[in-house]
Amino acid sequence: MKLENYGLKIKNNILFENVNVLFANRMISHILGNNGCGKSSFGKSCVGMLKHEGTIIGNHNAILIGSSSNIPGEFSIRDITQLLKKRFKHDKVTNIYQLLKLNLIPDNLAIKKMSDGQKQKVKLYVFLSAEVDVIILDEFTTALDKNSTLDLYNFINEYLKIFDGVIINITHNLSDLEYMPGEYYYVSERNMLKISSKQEVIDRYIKGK
Amino acid sequence: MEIRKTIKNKYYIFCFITTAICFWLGYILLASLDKITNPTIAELYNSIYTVYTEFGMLIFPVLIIQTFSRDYKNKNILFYKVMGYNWFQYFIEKLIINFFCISIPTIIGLLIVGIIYMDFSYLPIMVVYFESVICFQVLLEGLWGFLFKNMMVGYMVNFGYWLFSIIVATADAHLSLFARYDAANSVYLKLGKYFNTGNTKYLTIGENIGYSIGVFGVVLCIVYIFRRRWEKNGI
Repeated sequence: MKLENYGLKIKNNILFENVNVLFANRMISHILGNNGCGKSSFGKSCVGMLKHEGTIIGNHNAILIGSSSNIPGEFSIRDITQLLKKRFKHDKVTNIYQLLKLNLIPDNLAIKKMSDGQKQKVKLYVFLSAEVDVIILDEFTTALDKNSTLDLYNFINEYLKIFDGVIINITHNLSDLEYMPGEYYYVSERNMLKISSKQEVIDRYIKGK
Repeated sequence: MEIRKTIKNKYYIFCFITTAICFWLGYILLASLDKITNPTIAELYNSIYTVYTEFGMLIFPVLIIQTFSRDYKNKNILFYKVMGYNWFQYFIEKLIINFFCISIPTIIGLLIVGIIYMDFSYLPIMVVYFESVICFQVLLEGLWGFLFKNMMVGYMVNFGYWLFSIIVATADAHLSLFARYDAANSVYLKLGKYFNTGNTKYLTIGENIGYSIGVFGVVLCIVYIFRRRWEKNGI
């Protein structure tokens, strides 16, 4: 996915201006930055939820997985699996089900009764079963316990081996960088800068520069 | 998917209970206000019909609007999109589910009244009349549910429409189409005459069906104009 002269303005607040970035395939692109710098709004603009300036190339099949995308709580994994298999390829649905180890969760348990970590897994199960080229994860490990977070890291790393597309991870959680190697971007002064090393992006994030 | 969801969240049970309350109110109002403790079947049907047309505008919107606002509040719209839904399919399925969830217990209730009196002569006509009222309310309240993220806003807009429609219908007979099924309107008065005389010339079944089709068209046009609100409200 590529940003060409990308800009984003919400009301009178200019969040991005003339940004040019190429996100690599088969790689996790971590995006860090201070609160309010426009990371989540960027994610929304990539899936057409917000109007932007400039061009985003290759975002036709982009999906945003974050707090703005939940699965109806009355459904169970059994219901979800039946619905997904009606709509998407059986092999892909089964593959993601296995990678997420969803067999460890009772398949008749309503989603609303699941833990936050289990809910995130079900969310990934649904949205990654769809035909997508770009996956945007927005704070997807926030407020999860360590074990659930590690489970999700393992899944993403395994999934990356079979996924020929772009994964963008918008995060404040520095352990995302530790457990999921990739490329690093830092949002500052209406721009999105590519940072060459993990340590440098962590330093920038900690110092808020 | 909506049928499965309706079964899972037990929405149909709330519809059954609400409908039962409406039927019970129909009898209670006769007994308390009109002092009729042993009503005829016509009196009872007429009283229940009055409850649907008058109190229905206050009772049913709670049920109908929340089917939309729950999805908006829980941010479920992206899930619907992934499952292949668009605004149109979403809206139509919600209408159908709400229509059946209120219609089925209503028809069962009308049938039970017929069984109690062992008189089914009014049943087909009553089914058509009640269905017309339900259709109108589902369309109108479905519209508010679709447009407004906040359930209270939707409910208050519906309440405002109800008051407005009664006032304009009372002020000018030409504007009675805004509150076609209200007790002050000719449809209701003619139905009363039918109950008193048994003369079918007072029935307005054809007009009711035409009105329902017209309201459906208008509602669909409004929803189409504001179709972007579906994503805006729920993502």
